[in-house]
Amino acid sequence: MAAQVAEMLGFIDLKHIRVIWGDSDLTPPAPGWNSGLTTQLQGGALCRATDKLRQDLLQRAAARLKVDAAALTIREGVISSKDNPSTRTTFATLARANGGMIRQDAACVHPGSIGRAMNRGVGACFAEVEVDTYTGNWRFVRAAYCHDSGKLINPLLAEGDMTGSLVQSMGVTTDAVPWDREFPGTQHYAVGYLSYRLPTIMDVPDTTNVFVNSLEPRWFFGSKGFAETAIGAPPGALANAIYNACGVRIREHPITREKIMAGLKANGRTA
Amino acid sequence: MKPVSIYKPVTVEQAIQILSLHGTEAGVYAGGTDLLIRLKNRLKQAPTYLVDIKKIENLRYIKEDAQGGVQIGALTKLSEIAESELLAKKYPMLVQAVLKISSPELRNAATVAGDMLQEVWCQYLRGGYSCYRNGGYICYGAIGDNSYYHSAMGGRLCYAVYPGDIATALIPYDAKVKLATPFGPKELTVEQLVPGDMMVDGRLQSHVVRFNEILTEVIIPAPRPGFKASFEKIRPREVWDFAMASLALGLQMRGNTIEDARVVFGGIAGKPYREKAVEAFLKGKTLSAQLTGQAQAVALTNAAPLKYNAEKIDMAKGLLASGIERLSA
Repeated sequence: MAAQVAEMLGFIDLKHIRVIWGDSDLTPPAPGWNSGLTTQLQGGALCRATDKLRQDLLQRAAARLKVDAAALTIREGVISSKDNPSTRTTFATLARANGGMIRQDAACVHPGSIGRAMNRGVGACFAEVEVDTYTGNWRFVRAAYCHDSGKLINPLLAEGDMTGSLVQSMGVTTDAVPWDREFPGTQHYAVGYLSYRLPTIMDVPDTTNVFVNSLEPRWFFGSKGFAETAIGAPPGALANAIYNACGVRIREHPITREKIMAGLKANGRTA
Repeated sequence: MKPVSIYKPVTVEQAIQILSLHGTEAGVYAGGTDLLIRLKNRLKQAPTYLVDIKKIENLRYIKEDAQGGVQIGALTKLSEIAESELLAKKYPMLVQAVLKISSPELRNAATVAGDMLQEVWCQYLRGGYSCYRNGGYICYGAIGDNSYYHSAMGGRLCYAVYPGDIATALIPYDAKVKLATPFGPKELTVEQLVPGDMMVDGRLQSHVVRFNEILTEVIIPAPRPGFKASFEKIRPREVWDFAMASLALGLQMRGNTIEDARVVFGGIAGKPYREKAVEAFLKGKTLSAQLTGQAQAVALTNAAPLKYNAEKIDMAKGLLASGIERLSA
């Protein structure tokens, strides 16, 4: 978020930008927030507000310096004339002249509403598993998880987001949300995290994240939503990998040791 | 959390006096990885008076005796067992088993006696249902969703599985435990210690330790030459979970012949389930991977799975096959 604003306002680092997160007194309402679109939705509103702020600052500077706004440039909080760099003013001066603050806000439409192809997540997952045919026990060994991601604003966070998506997907693939099958509606089966089994670091495979930096001319900085949108890939990849490994076709999630064991027995493949 | 009073005795005798005074209202507090969770979940059966035995000296040790056996103090942490070179040399299977217990964090806190005497991890008990173990007169596990933590070998009142791994792993070594009682020390074998759901002092529990007794020591006899063992465990995920099925397999070999065998399944019954039929079958046989099919055929013939846990038996039999194969390799 801060990086997008810094880029548009001509700063080379983030130390002048402070992001205030989740304060609904300050922010306008946002449309539905889904499909890994934080950087597009919140970021889009931010980019529009920043753009308005930039125009506003240029107008004020042009009036103050008596120069055409098109002939001005912004760098590190200083607005100067392209022809004559000594004709200059600063953000601070303009803000002070305006009583201490210059404020602009903007809202953003959902990227999905401007075209079907826009931000529809396209991802793929490749999985390698090991199945113990004695017991039906299995292990998710390696994964390659790919997504058409547009331009990555923050590659480090993007890696984390993709890994999180894989782990979440793997969790719902291998362990159902534990509603009690015998006393429905009485109580959630899970007692803390005893039976609501989130995957642990020991269950997470060696993962290679692959980002396809495709062209997306219709959105700020060419970015796209990703990670959350590919969450449908790992369940299929895992089911196929298990089929290739031991010949047991599982068509209903969750993938459990019991189902693998039952399949192995039906195929006569146990030890 | 349930409100409690804590005592901090400095000798075993003091601790026993306090336990005798409060009866079944009191409970021994050491690692707390089981007890504190029961208190936090406000189970009716959780004690009101905690007797914190961590201040008692000389209960935390791993030492070798003159006969070559090893004694482990009750307050020894699981991580200390896992890191002990002495145990790794003499009883590698025990160390393997301990390394498969929950997570490193919990192994740093949990004690060896606490692991052996822990309360069952049935989601109904832990969820505060009024079951046999929690002041009620019904077992929800037997009629409820019993896919992970319930017995597939039948039960008496409570159908939860015995969750500990150390007791399972100690039985092949013919280990014993020492209890301190108001009437002096008492020795039991590990099998006698955890016979499954038992009514003791009016409470249903997996072990036979009475309200005024404290487990003080685990005694493992000297390893015999030619003894081979393996421990395998299947759990829903790789850390932080209990066995769906586990197997501690110990074979006393003479050359290539099996002189004596111990086959102990964990996670499938209310106690570490020693399968004597397989032991009898293996005795006198030549160890090879050819034995697996026949061993599986005689194993767990009196299984009585509940609605959702029949696969536990298949997994246990699978572990038996892979265990024999591993030891014969």
